Amino acid sequence: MNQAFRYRILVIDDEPSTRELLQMSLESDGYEVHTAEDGLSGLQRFHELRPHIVVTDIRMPGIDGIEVLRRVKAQAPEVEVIVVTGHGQMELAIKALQLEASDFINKPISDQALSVALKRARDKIAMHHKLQNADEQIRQRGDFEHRLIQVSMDGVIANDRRGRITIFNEGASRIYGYSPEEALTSLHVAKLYPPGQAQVIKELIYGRQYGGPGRLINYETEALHRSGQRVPILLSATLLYERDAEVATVGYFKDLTELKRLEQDLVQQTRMGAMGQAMAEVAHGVKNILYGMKLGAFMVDKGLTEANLTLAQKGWPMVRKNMDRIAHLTLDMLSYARDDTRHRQPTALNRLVREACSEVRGRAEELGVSLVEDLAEGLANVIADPENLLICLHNLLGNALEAFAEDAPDKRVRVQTRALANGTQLLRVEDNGRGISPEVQAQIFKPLFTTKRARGTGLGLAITQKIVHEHGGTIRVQSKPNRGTAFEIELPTA
Amino acid sequence: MGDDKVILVIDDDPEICDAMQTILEEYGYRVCTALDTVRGRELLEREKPNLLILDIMMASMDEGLNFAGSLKKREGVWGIPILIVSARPPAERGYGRSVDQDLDWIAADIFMEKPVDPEELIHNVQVLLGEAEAVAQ
Ligand SMILES: Nc1ncnc2c1ncn2[C@@H]1O[C@H](COP(=O)(O)OP(=O)(O)OP(=O)(O)O)[C@@H](O)[C@H]1O
Repeated sequence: MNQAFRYRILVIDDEPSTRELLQMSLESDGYEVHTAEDGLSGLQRFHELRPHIVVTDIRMPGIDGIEVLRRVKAQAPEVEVIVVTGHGQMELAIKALQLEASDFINKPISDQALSVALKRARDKIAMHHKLQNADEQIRQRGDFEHRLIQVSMDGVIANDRRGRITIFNEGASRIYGYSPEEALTSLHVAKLYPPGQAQVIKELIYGRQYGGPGRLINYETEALHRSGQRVPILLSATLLYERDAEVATVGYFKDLTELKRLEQDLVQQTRMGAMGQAMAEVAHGVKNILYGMKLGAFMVDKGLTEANLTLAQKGWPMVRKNMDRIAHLTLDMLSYARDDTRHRQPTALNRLVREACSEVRGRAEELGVSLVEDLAEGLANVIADPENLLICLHNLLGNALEAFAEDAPDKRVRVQTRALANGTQLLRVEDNGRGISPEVQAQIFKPLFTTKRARGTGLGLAITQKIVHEHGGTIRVQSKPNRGTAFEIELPTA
Repeated sequence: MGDDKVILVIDDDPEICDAMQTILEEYGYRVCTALDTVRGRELLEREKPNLLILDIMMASMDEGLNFAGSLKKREGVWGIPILIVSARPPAERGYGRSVDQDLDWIAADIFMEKPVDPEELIHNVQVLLGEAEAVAQ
């Protein structure tokens, strides 16, 4: 037993022999022992001595052991009370345990039973001490944190294991539109996110992509406002554990609405700026196209006036092709300048891929390119404008089909879809064509950048990137000169 | 009409090359085409053309200009007239001066801005080959 700390024990028993026996045996075990011969004086001594442990006989005249137990526990719940019961007093023993006696021992008292009961009492006291310290710390920190939480600009929301909200600060109110009272009484954590997203977030917290397991750091997602509106947020969350058991989740929510708006403004601005600069580039593209058109028209004219059908026949396709290019350029410019996100709906990515692939298959065959679809089964829908996504697919497929030297031996283009662990979907268009040098790579998403002269408008990738960004997705390119190129689009799911 | 005259067209757009060839052949010229200046140089040596029609917006503007410049510095077979076709007016982006002021500087005998009118092009070809009188602009 701990030298510096002596447990004080009060023994209450009306039988002198039992008192003496207990006193002797407990003192020899190193306890400080005091005695009282009935309930009343026992309680008095209890007040004077403040013992850690009380051992009391249960059957006593006047105030009996049960009453002693009740009063001691009422005043000092941390004190452990062991009751001593006689033969056939099981009911009283049970009652004592219900009143939070730490244990009971039967008469005649055996040394072994006594020491087991005392050990248990000591353990409980020790545990209680620890808890009390922790409680105190938590309370102090809690006060501080409570204030911190309340004044925090960010939303702070905690929930217990069953998803009930236990903390909901004003920042959270601002983001969500619920009052703290409302949230604490009637809001479930799943309602904080668009349908299905709570589960995704939960899995992410347990996973390791965002700083976990057990943590989620700076995950961009959407909050579901009381009104049903979606609010872009940056979420960090952590699981709280108590004795290795998970007890709660705390989330820190940063409202990104303003940031997103600024971002969008910026995108719009740079886009318009680029458009301004680009006017000269457009003119350049148009001039090239017109040049081809004029040469073609000249041949047609000359062929017609001189009744030279061959010449006219040579000229006409040039006219037509360049007409198509002008139309193409115009449409591209329109869809680049336009800001159209209205037609979003749950969309099956694979269906769009199949559609786009079937539309370009003829051209692929003409060019001798084998076009392979590698589509994941059972993909969730993405929220997207199908027409716009088709434009993206066409641009990527078109570029991939044009990525080959005519005499390249083995021309392959592969389109892949996959569900990613972070809840997004991957669309990958890959070719083993000429690749893109790093200097060119830096430019390809710029409007009107093209290495294809009159054959390309240079808007394809700029449009694709714009659409992907409008869908809250990302696009990136990986390429090695002479090895091939892969474009990857990640889109959020429904 | 110069049956024996050879014209070299350098343009990285094969369709333009094709069209130019068809049209110029209609006027009785023999035409060879190159998609880049490397191939162009080869043809210059081999075919000894009487005129070069060059698009300076090839891979880079510099490529076309340097090429034209390097030709102009030479004498002999290299000293052939050059007709430059460009989608950009020469005063733009680094040329800095206008065509009329300083044709030498851009190393061309005639500079034409796209979209070039084919009839004018033919006329200029004939001028450069000494087959027609230059008209006052
Ligand atoms: N798969 C690819 N392989 C090699 N180069 C590519 C590939 N995809 C794009 N590029 C390069 O990026 C440039 C820009 O592409 P973008 O789609 O924006 O315009 P474009 O293809 O030139 O014109 P258009 O959009 O009218 O087809 C291309 O000119 C080409 O140099």
